[in-house]
Amino acid sequence: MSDHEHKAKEYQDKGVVPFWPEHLLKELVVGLVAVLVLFVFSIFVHPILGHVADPGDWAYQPAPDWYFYWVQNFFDVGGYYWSILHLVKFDWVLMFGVPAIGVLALYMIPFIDRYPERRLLKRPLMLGMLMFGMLFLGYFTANGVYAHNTLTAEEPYNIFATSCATCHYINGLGGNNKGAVKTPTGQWIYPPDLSHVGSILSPAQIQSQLERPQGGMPQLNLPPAAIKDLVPFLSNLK
Amino acid sequence: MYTRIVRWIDDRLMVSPLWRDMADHPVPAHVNPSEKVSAFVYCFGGVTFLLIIAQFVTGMFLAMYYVPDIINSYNSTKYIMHHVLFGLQLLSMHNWGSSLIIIMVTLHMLRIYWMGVYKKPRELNWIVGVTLLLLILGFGFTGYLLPWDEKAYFATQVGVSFTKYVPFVGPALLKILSGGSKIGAATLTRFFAIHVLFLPAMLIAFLGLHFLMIRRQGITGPY
Ligand code: HEM
Repeated sequence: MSDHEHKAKEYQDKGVVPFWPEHLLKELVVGLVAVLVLFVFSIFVHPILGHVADPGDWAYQPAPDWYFYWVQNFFDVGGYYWSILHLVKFDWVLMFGVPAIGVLALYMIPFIDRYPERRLLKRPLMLGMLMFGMLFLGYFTANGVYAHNTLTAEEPYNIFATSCATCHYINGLGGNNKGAVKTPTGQWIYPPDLSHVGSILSPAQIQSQLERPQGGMPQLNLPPAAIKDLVPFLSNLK
Repeated sequence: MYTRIVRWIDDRLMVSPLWRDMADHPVPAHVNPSEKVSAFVYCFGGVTFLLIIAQFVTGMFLAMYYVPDIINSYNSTKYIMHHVLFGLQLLSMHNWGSSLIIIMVTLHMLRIYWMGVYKKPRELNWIVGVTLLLLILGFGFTGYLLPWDEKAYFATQVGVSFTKYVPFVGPALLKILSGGSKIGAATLTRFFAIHVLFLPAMLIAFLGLHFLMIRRQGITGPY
């Protein structure tokens, strides 16, 4: 019997398989399925490239990648309560201390878990920590997605209320519905109702009106980010 | 012929003990999904590794077109998406890959946790594992800036601003990471270098340690 055959016999008796090729090939099949999933996704769903970065866009509400939502939201919510509790002086406790303790705890898990048993149900403390961790991540991720959606969704309404509503009217949002406004210089202008502006003007025309106003409307000097938010919003008013 | 070539190399380099050590070690039946379907949980680590390799490959091809400066990073990304043959798919795979890796590494970690694998003698491998996790997240964070669109810029601004709360070294750290007082050209080149040079080097080193320990300690048996 050659060395190789000898080994094969020994492995068989013990109920084990050699890593190569028996095990690795099977594992590769699982792995290739994962890469295939990746490939199929990449054919149908593509990342979106936004506008080029403009540091002056104060109104922009950034979203992190989905797996960082919980970080951002935890600090947003935590920071809010921190300031209510007048602890702003000790910001570093929340912003550095808490995450440092979290990472340290993760590193120390094998030393926290002193149970002789390996089954999770026989390790109540570890089960509890797992539950806590999952609820923590789940809650702040969901809350973060929700918070981001409301923030960005409200943006055009806020801009409309502060910059446009003194002259214009939109059904449901209010504003000036008299149809005529006397400017500080004594002229009369006739701002139209914008409730259906999307079916009258194209997005490009709306944008141009905001950037270079015609027909008596004042130059509002809206920041580019505000215009970017307003154009799709107004175009949808059909 | 094959044997002779192997023997020729072996006479000089003695690779076959090495090869035997890497390839011929026994793998117990309980981790083999074709023996028992539920053993697929043992594959999560391996699948993560395969996805990382895929990520290396797609990343290398992206680097052929991507230019890391504040004017061209956006434009070259756009170019990859619209003009490079299969460029959009390439970028997509790299983008999806990062998400899938996060998912797989989480699943892998969950298995280690719920099976209590990190107990003696595997405590050190858990520590190496957590480091791998942080490195993976580092890839995600630095890669997010590279397309240089609004989302990239402002998300990085938020992320980098956290460093200023580190006691004593915070402001210095902020400056080192962003290469100045604002997110700008220096931040972009820094993040690019971290994303494609520093982090991969560290990832490979720690993966080596991870696998070395798995080999030494063997895979955990059933309960
Ligand atoms: C880059 C990410 C990682 C890769 C590619 C990776 C890869 C692997 C592979 C291939 C195995 C063999 C068994 C299996 O697949 O389950 C393994 C085992 C192990 N991994 Fe990871 N891993 C990674 C991250 C982690 C993390 C984040 C942890 C925990 C914090 C961890 C802890 C362990 C431990 C303790 C073992 C030993 C398993 C046993 O003896 O049963 N790894 N890893």
